[in-house]
Amino acid sequence: MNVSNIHDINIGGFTIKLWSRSTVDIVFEPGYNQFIINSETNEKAIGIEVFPSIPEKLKNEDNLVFETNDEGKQLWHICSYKDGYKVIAFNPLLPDEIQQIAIISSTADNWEIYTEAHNNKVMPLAYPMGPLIMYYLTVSQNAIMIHSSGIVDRDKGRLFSGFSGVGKSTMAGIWNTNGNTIINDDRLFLSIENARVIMHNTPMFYEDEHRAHELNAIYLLKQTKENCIRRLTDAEAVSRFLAFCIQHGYNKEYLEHHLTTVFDIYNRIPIYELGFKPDADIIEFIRTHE
Amino acid sequence: MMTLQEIYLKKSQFATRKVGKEMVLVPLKNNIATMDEMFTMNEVGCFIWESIDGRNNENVILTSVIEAFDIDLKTAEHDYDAFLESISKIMA
Repeated sequence: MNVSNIHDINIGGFTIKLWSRSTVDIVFEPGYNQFIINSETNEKAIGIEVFPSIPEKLKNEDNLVFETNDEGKQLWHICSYKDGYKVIAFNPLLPDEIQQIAIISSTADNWEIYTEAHNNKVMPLAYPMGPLIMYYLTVSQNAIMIHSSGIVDRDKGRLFSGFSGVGKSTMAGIWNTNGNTIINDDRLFLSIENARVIMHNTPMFYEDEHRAHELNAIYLLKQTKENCIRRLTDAEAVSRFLAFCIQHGYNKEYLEHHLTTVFDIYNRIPIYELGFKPDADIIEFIRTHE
Repeated sequence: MMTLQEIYLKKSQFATRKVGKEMVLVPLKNNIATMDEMFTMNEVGCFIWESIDGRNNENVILTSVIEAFDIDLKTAEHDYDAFLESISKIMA
């Protein structure tokens, strides 16, 4: 097999390997630059063969099982396809234009991505396909992605999650101002490695170095007039944490896998409900009460 | 409210996980907009859920609840009705 352009990307400690048999160059958005690694083995969690055009026969949406839109514009559709799935991803700026089509194996670890070449270059992971691949990585590994911010305080890793606008980025900003390390303020990839939960940042729309740290506590945020904290237990802890994890509801096995992963995380680290007013007092409050 | 048979037929549309004596239920969905919908059940609800197997009728389940939780018929009927009411809303 004449394979050109082999690229390895590290997401959450797992290798995603991309390659093409054509002569086109595989290129990436700037956010991936710090996540590209030089792997000398063929070991991979997901393998992706890239093709430099989209065949007409793949563009139908037969057996549609899931779709998502961004402010009314179609973003990606998922169809049952053979034993696995077909993902049709649209250009976020031109929603009628198909940007990529991916064929996914039943085990979610073997992919084909079809996308049109421009100037002899293809960008198979262009948004929204990249985050979709990260999602499928979580359903085949002991991992989950969550809308959250993550910080490191005196070697202690903390995660803050909650509904949009509740203050995840504000919380990260408070810790950052206090001199703490920010893993990311929007999205984290959590993996269970050697009985520890590790939080990783993921490629974003901007360039950032790869960061990771052990996670020691999870906080689900709500805004209150006074700081308050309550440790969550049992089904309440698992369901409320799961609500902020990135999941697609069309596959029962995937949902059960996420439930098991969240349950595993719950058994290893505490989950708190944290009411906070957005000022620096919250730092000492957390250190004192957890 | 839904019948036991209707609930049984819809059980496969939920992913479930027991957490201690409680249970988390996540519904299968075809759109990302509803993914924050998930539900929890207490110990009695969890027991009734697991008893709905397509064969057990109301009397069998009530008798099992009385024996398992050492409660009287009136309390068991109250818990059973409350379960049917909430699960009917969840599955609607």
